Amino acid sequence: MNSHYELLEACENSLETKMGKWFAGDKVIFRGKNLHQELGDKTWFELFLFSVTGRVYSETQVRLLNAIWVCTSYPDPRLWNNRITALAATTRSTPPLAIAASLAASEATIYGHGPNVRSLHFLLNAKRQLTKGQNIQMLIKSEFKQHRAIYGFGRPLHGSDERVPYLMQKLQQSKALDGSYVQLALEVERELKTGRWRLQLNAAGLAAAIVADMGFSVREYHLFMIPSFLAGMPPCFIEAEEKPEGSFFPFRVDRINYKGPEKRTWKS
Amino acid sequence: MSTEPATEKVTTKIWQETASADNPFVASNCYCYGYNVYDDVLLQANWIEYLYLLFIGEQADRQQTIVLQQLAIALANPGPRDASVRAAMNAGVGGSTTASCLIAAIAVNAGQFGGGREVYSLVECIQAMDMDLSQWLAYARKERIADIDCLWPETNHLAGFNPYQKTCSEIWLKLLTHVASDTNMPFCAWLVTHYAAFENITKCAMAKSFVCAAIFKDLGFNSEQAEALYLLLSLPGAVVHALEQKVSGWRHYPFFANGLDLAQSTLNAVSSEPVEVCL
Repeated sequence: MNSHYELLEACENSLETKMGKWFAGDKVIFRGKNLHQELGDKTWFELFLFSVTGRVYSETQVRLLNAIWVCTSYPDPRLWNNRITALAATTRSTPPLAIAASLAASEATIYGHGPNVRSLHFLLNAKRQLTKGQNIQMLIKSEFKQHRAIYGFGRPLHGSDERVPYLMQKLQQSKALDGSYVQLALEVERELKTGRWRLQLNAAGLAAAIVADMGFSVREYHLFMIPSFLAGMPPCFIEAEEKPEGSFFPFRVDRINYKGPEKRTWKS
Repeated sequence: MSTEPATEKVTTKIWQETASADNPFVASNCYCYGYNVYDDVLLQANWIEYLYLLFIGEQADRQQTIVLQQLAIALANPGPRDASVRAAMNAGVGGSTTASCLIAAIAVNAGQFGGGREVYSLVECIQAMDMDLSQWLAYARKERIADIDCLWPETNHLAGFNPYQKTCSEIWLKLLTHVASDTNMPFCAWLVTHYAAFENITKCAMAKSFVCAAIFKDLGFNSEQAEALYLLLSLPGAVVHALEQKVSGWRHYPFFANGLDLAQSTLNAVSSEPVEVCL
């Protein structure tokens, strides 16, 4: 047997799973639980959390995690990901195509899953470095050197983030303010505010700290946050569909600001 | 209704339009990097030449056009065993929208194992190491691994090398050696000379992604353009296979009816107590 494709041969017709299986006409096993009998009374949010982490969270924790999704659901069709939904509706495409594309685009660099995931990555790494004896100023300098930013701090459009006071209030209500990652995020913010950077903790940073205190890995958080913008998207679709087709912020020709080469002739 | 002229504009070096005399929302002429698309390009250029113009902003010379066309043909149908084509067929066979077949193919072909992101990483490597053999040998010895962004899952293989093959597929080697005969394809020629040494070190085959990255680099595409074109050029095959399966139907398409086994540990857990609440 050729050792290079031995693994492929072994996997050709056989997959062993720990995650789940549909037994047609009988039952569905979902990460070791019977979906309809053991998980059937969960809310969809709780089921999704279990799907991502394999863990069951307390009611207080679920409320806090739910708040992360609630606070970032903006039904504003100008936002870049939502605008895709509205544009799909104005061209009379289908809702799943509209929202699938918008969710995919939510994995952005300037907002969404890029900052979300990188914020958690920063906090988990920062904690490890601090445990090894590095101080917070050195940590900040090294992060700036590597990424020219600290994910989770600052915001491109405005100086403050309206989601932060909301999440802080939820943290207080949940009595989870003393979590070590939340405290670390606040400590980094104090450094960044007093230093020359003048950056504030933003919602991505605070949400990452909250999930870090709940033991989320980077990949678990990446998966958990996929629907976090979803609730803001259907309103964008509904309204663009109600309005005349093609009428969502139409572009007239002179909206194109051309900066390219002068007119020229194709050389055969 | 507002009649004020638009203030926020889209700035572009690629596209210019002149408005129709009777309707400001209708273009009467379109120019791509200065060339009149419908009066000039359309009559004189082929699609590959136009594609090159869109990405690079200049006309391709004859050799560049031939090489890009050859690459486009090589990529156009990865075949029904390919993961991206299978993704498209999965959408098609269930009667999903045609757009979802294309989306499925793009999403799967975007990956780091044989996908667009691997091509991206390799073009970055080529830009960084050029034809410095010592650096590439160090890379092959896994002393230098492409940067990993936490958004993308970690991979276990070295970008550009397929761990499930010992030597490069004949089809991709044919393409590489063919295009490398052109004097304007220096990295491809260099790769033809050295790939066997890399295969010897890695004990893995030079992958399709490496061949494609080399060609994209020599044609002047940057890493993101290469990633995008790799995805784009691979779509025709995916969608025709999806449309074929839509007609053929799910009864004639693999489901792996007896292929999925639940691990004993999971089966044992089913009847046990609910998992502990995290506090």
